[in-house]
Amino acid sequence: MTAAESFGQYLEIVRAHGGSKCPKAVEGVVREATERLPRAIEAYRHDPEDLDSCRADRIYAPDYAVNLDGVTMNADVAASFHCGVPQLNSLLCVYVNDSVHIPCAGKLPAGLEIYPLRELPEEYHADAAALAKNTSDSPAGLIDTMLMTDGFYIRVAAGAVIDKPLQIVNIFNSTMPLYTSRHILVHALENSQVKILLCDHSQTPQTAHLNAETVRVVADNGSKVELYDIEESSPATSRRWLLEATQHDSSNLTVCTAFLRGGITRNEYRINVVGDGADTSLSGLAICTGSQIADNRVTLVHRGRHCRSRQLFKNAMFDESTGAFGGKIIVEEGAEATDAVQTNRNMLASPSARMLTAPQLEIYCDDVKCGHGATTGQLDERALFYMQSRGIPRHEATMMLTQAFMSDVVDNISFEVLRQRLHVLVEKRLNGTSGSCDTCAAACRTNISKEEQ
Amino acid sequence: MKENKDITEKEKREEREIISDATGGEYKYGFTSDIDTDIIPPGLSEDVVRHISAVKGEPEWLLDFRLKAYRHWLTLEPPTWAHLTIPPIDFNAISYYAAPTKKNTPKSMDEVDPELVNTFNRLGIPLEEQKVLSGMAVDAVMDSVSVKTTHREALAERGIIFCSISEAVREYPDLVRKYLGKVVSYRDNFYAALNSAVFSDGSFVYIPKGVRCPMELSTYFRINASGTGQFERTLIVADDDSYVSYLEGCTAPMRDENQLHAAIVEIIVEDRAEVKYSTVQNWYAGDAQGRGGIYNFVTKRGLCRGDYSKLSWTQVETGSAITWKYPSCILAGEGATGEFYSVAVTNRLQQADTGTKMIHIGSNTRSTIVSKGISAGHSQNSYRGMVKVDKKAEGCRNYTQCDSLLLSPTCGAHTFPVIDVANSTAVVEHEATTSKISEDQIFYCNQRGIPTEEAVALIVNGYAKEVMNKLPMEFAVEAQKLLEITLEGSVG
Repeated sequence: MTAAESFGQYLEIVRAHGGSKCPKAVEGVVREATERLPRAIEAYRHDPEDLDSCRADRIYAPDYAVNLDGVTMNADVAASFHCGVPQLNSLLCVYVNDSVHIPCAGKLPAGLEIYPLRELPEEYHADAAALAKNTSDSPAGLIDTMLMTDGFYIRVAAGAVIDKPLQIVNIFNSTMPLYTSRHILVHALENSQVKILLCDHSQTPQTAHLNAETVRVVADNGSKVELYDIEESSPATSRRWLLEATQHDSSNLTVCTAFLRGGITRNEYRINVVGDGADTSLSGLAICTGSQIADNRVTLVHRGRHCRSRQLFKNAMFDESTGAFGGKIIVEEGAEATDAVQTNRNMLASPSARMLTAPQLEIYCDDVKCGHGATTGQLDERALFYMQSRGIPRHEATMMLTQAFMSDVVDNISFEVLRQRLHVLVEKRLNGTSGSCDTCAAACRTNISKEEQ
Repeated sequence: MKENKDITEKEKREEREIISDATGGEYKYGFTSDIDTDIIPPGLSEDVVRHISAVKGEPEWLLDFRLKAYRHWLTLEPPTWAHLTIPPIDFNAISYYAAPTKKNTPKSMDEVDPELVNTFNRLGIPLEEQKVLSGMAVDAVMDSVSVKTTHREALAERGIIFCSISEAVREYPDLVRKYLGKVVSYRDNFYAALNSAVFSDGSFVYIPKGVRCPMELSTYFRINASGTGQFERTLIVADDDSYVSYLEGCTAPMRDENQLHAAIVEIIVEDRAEVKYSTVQNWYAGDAQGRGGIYNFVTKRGLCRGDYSKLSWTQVETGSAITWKYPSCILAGEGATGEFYSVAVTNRLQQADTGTKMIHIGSNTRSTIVSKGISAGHSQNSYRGMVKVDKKAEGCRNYTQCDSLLLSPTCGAHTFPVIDVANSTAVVEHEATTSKISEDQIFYCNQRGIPTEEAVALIVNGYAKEVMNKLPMEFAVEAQKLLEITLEGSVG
């Protein structure tokens, strides 16, 4: 079945069911997305996104179940699902399949409010609806909105500086193939600061999982939002991750994603810089083995003046894996003194690996400084030789150099504990040992090691 | 303090004037020569295709080729993926054949229509002079039929064939049949199919084994009759160990209605042979309101079939209302080399979507891409390129650099590269920058007594130099002149 046919089926299922059970706050948004869906599917049928079509077909191939009634997965959250970074004293939230759990609800610092969308106070309904609004014409994205049964609403009050990072742990646990539509809405009000860490885990690594996660961020004037994402799921997982962010005057957005373990991953970043003097930093790394696919798509639109953006994406491809990077910087008319740089570096470490890169610039304004660089190559043979001549086995030398290759992405992470952790995770990943957290719940780790044996 | 402010104001005003001067410059080559042309009525059908073939006295196989292409063309839609706004083209409003009525091939310059000679003289291409002074063989294409071919004998001595493609079809049918459509199939794209169906004329070059062509081969294309599309077809074959440098220059007179130009250039490079293909394109770009101008939709591709073969494309694109052009290299032979050097200038409402494809199929193949875009006025200038390394191609190397210079706040400069690498031994690099002329540089020049206008000209020339240096001497001068005319050497 092609992706377009699958899209049609999801629409039929929802229609036959008389709609999904969506939170009251976003009813309008969901209705609107559902109404626009047939046309979007039709358009997709005629013109599937060029680079994406074959992968979309693969992503949607399994027969996923959808949780239309929003049945809550009950779980002893604190005990079995804690997956922390050592010494990372974080505020914990958990997404079990598509059920929202907020164990940290009682311990929130002043200025930070987190609600499940279903229990959202009336006063925030309009804000949540505005945040959740889906303006794209992508049928996959519209289906995600249509299937929204719950989500996180995170609000950082004006001037509040939240030191403690907020961690949202995504856990998948199901015996049948499941399509989970996860939504995280973040509104950082004026001069506020927040750090959010997302991580993906699968407790049932044999089960096919379509993890569709949408993160929508609005960064008001002078706010600072940091978003980190670590994916450590299973090869049976297909992930579609979308970050849609709007940046206002002098706001600061830092995003770093790490793809360590999974099946097919497509991370999409749609950043809209509307304010003046904003700063954007996007980075990502992917280490792919087996037949994994890692695909990063960036659309960064500069509308404001005096803005600066930096992008750094690195991929190391082993075995039969495929990597893709599509980066687009659009500088609109009037976005004067924009300074945008995009870098994509790729390493092919196996004869069967493949890398597809399309870094693009669309500039409609003359007072800009924009550049992009993309390279695809392999480790320096001389460096490998040097290390071997000093008694380091080739395999280890390769690993060390690959780790060094990735290190500048990891170094982009501003908070120390996570940075250290990611260095270790990358090393472990390259070692071939389990990448799961040491402190993680037993269930999680045993399952992954079982799968590896 | 106020004084300083006044000075900056003044500078800004000067800058604006310079820009408007540059953008307001009228097309120097806009004139129409009154030569009688034999035009068939507008419209396209199988009959028209048969008519063209019959007029040219073509053999059966070529008519079949045309008809196959025409039938395939009917199934296609014009491509829309380019970053261009193309007004709908009524393909039935175009006349597909125009030939100067003088059918007898002139034996000397005296026999050539004086009006035509005058036309070329005004363009700065005096045939006589060029023949004598620069030692170039000029095959001038006036609309669709070659009217004059020079230096034929000198070339023939070495076994080099340089003639119009219709002549080649008559005299060397086996050669043409062997190579025609082998690099750019009629199934390739919409405009390639159209060209294959109705191509009127063009050049054919064959360089035999081991021969180094003693002179630069040159063709000037000129669209002359109003409302005629020109469908050139060029075929260049360089046999083992040969070398040729081919120049293509284009200027067209001023027209109100848009004219379509859909050409095909096919190049085949055998073992250790080298082909250098240079283009200076200065077709009418339309007036300041965007009226008129040529639509330049060209398919150019070379097949480096032989081991250690080399193909080098150099282009200076200053004209045309819309340019859609991607000279490409298929690097199939072991150790083959492909090069692409381009300067694309757009001004006023011009649109250009140009670039290259480097397809690495053979091992140890190398390619270099240097693209320089300059946009001014309200124009849109895009680089679109693809570098593909096949799974079996070991040790390939590509270096791509594409820079864009923005000269007005209303223009656009875009970069759309695609890099697809399926072999782990490949090293592929891509680098792109977009910026306006740095104020530091202008300030530095001003400070040393160079006025802003000259400083800008200096910087633009320096910026384009890397590509200009790749042009043959004779062309570099003209290209330099064109750059100056297009931007009046003084954009700011």
